[in-house]
Amino acid sequence: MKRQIIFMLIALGTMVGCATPYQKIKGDQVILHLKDATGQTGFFASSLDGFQRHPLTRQSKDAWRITLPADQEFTYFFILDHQPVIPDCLYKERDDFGFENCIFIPDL
Amino acid sequence: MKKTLWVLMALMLWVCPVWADDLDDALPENTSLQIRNNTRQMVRTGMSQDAATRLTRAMLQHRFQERHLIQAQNTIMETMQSGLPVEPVMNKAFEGMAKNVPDERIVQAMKTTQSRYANAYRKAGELTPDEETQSRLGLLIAQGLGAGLEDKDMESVMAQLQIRIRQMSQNRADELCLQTFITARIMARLGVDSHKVSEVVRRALQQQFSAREMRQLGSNFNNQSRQTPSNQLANQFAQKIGQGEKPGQSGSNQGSGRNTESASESTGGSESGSGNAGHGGSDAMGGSKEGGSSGGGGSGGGGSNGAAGGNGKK
Repeated sequence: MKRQIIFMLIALGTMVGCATPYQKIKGDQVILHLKDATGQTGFFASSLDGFQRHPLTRQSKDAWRITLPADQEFTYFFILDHQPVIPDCLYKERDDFGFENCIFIPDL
Repeated sequence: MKKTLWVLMALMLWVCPVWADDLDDALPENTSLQIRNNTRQMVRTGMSQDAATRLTRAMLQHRFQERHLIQAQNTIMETMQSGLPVEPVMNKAFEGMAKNVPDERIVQAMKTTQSRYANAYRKAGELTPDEETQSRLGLLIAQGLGAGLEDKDMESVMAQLQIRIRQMSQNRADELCLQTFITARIMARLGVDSHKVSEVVRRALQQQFSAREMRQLGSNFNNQSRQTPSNQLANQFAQKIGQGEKPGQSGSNQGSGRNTESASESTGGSESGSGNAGHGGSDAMGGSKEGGSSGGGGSGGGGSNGAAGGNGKK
């Protein structure tokens, strides 16, 4: 019985650990995550600097990550293997190209 | 011979201004004369040389056809001449290029953006004579439309607003307009269907919500959207408001929390204030929300994937 409980707790911990949030605030910075295990190349673009592409490095086998200042609103998206991709973010806008952008809103 | 010299001199005089200025140096050597002249025209219209050449260079790198590049430049110039903000239109071009969208579609999207802002600023002008408020409202309306609010639904909110503000002082009217469109924008960005955004906001206006109550409505909606799907939440809000409920009326512990000034909420930067109004305890529009802390004081992580940050209670 004890072993079963321990096993269940480990399984639960693993599941919770896997649920990477799409953003985390750390001090005055925001860390944006995108879950993806297959993309070969990753870029990030945002309205902060006129949508310049920034190459990404993998945070882990199944996620990309970028850290940005969290003091102002901006819209953003990722580009994986030449395709725009967004995480399951809370705030979105349409992009006039038939796709959507995420919006980061500080303090919301 | 003399005639030839005169012709040469005239040619030199005509060509010289086009020659070797900073702008020319900033563009690739093989840039056509028409594009160079049009870029120069953008600077004359009021754009910084740096911005004009940066955009032109990017479009050339993206292999825009010359006619599409000229169209894009003309759209930028028209936007500036109309007194509309040029950054959203410029950014649309850069965004399209980052996404590797074909040039023709980028130009189309730039025109769509320009037209959305023109429409929004025109509407803002119908709501207030104050230029500063017009500009803030215009931005809010444009961003609401960009998030999915449809024109007809925005019009119906406008119509209701116009009825409400008829008897108000200028300041109170402006404040109500701003808070109404901040709330509409939050809801649209949260993915609420356009007609439901309009319904909730119109009902609030019909129920004589003040600017402050409208702000609380937006804040409460934003906070609760982390627990309830946004369209379902919009239905609940519409129903409660229709029954005459206002934020802070029912429920317990109606702390008023901090009230941020509307000024900071309404500009393009962020509507952080509206999301942070934080009224501890439960709110009127269905269900309890975060206790005590300045609601939304977290990161806004939230999200449907159960992000960290968010609000106190999840």
